[in-house]
Amino acid sequence: MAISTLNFSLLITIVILLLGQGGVHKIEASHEVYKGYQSLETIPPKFQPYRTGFHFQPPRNWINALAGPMVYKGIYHLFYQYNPNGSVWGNIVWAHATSKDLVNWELQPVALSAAEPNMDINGAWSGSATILPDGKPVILYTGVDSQNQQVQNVAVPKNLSDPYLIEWTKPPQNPIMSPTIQNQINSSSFRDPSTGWLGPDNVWRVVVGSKIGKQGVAILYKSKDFVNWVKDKKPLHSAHGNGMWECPAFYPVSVGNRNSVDTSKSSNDLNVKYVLKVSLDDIKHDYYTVGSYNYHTDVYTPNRGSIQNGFSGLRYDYGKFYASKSFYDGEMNRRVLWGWVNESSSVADDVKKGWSGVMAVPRRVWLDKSGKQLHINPVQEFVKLRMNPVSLRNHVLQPSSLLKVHNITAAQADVEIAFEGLDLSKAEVIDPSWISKPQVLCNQNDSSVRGSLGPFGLKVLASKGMEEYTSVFFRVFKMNTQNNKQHVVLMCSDQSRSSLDKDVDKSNYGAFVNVNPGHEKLSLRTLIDHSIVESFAAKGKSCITSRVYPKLAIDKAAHLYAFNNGLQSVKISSLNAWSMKSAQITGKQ
Amino acid sequence: MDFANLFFLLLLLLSLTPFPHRRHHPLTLAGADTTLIETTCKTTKHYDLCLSSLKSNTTSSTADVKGLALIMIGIGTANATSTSSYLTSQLPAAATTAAKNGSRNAAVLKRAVLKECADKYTYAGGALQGAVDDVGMEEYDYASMHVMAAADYPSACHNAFRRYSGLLVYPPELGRREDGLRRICDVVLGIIDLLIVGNY
Repeated sequence: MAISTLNFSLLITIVILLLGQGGVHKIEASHEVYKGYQSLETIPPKFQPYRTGFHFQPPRNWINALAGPMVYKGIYHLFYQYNPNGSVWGNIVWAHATSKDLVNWELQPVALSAAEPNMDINGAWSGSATILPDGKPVILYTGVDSQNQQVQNVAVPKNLSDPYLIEWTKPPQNPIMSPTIQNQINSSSFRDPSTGWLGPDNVWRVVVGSKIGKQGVAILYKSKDFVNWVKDKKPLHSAHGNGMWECPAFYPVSVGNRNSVDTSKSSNDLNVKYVLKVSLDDIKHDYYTVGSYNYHTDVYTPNRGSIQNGFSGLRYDYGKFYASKSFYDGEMNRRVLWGWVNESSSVADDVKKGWSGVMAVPRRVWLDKSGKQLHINPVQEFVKLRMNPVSLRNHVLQPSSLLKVHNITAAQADVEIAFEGLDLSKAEVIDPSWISKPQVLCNQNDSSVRGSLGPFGLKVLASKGMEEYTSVFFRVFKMNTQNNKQHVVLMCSDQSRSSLDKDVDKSNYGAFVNVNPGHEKLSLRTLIDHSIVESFAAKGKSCITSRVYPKLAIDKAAHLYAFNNGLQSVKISSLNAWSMKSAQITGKQ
Repeated sequence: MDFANLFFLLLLLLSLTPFPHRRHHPLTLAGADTTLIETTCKTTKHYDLCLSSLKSNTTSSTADVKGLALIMIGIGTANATSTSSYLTSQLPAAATTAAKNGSRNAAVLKRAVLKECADKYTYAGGALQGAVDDVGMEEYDYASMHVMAAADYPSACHNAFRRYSGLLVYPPELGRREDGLRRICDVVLGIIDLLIVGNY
């Protein structure tokens, strides 16, 4: 963010404080506050080169964190944080959309507004949905009350026979969790209640994100009836040094079975592991660990070797992907993950274009056979948008080569490519200390930096003269560890040349991919949708999402290439590319 | 009896002695390919289903593991397609039965659910077709993801019936087909795992 913008927002904040808020606490939001823009509704311009074709986004205004996604009576519900009045964060309510297939959506009226002084008058912030054993859905969410304190409230459908669940009521017992002097909870750091799970004692548990100093905490609450909650003495888990934990999530995953496990059924089954995920407020990334859960003592223990302190653990996505929420999809026995992808463009641009934020494609989550990490991939339903396939097989990409993919709407496409035939004896050596710094490696070595094995991959949203392009690529190295030599694979999403516009964030993202290039092909799937690029390597072992704003590579003027800028050749074993139809998003917000 | 006749008799006797086989299989000839089907099926979740399904196909005895995967996917596709047709064929009957019982709401509901289920099984067939393409190209990662999706669609159909468990009964025939498709998909995933490991 430019220094001048930061100073501007500080100035606004100071001016507002000086104008007198009495003895009220300042809202400690995790967003920049641009009071001047919060309720500035402009008429969006007709030329919208960056709006997506098949990603979820409402017609206008600001969106941020996911809230309570769920499925009920065969209908998927997406709730999300929304500003009905402007293109920056503010006036936050729960907006609502429904779908039968996670692809095409119908916008619904606002589900939860910011209305009650003791519950949420200063904001209906994020939360989660739980499906009770009798099938009824219930929402738990954070409200900011008239004293600007963060509290938790419950909301239930007004009419259970309405499958679209348009209206929700807030019972008078709210707020059902509050920061008090006794419980010593920080009233500015107490939010995002998770989906509940039942213990063997038939008692409900949820976690709420918080912090104590610089220690991130998942506070544990218990209840017999989902209305009266008691804070547990111990948190479910905590970790030092990584700041406030937002949007905590805790769910079971099955080892050796690709199908998901119903959250509401707790288990001490050895074949069931647990995932604890948190959104780190300080750096805006989502991290997770896999571990075991003792449901008698409510203790979660991450797997040995998991990294949870600092910032080098496992992430759902190594690019732009935050405040995500997953839910157990009982219709299809799978876990589905949603993530919010904000803009990399400036606030001024967002106000001008009249909208900000998109949702990543919903993704299926399952545990790897090793039990050590998750696989994350777009849900199957998106293949129905594919059309006009273009295929290529067994093509050797010589060093310094570019292969154009023709007959495709390159600005709205789905590409699957797999590489093989690497001469691993020619891999360059990488020092083990780089294993925790893939993003630095990618920022320091963009696609123009030639290596021995790599960079090779895709150039997407490329302009005709290659003035602009976004590269998604692999590099393969050799690493001499104590025990043996092994090969490591680095994946980069390189935005450094994505746009001639100087005011957008063009930093690169990187991740190592846990595959052995000696035993398997390097596979990559990339979804391209105007201003969002989502890449999945090795069946979703590493994902990277990015936002780009080309000035030339727009619509029909965008092109797609496979490339190899390494010193060694590499073979494309197969490349499949499809033009993507647009999703239907209808109705009024 | 002279020597020639004795020799001939001996030869005749020898030809009648059964050679030691590892198994008696009147349907197959060489021992090698039978073993491939058996060793392949052993690694899957449903050995008996795998064995009987593959052996019922005439080309399986000479197929490699990739070929066995394709045969099994074909069996799954056949299940999905025939189930979809079966569901569509039930639509008129649903209306007639309900009309007889005077319960018009149940009839409308049943038709809607049968239609939804027919769609789900069609999607399952589509996903398996995607898997065929990917296996053909040896993109086993993608193939397995398509098969995973195909295995999920039958649950979605069952859940549609569960939603109206007071009014509708989940047909036992459909339940058999649901279990069948899911098991077939499990077997396919097992064979694909072998291909992933053995690919290099």
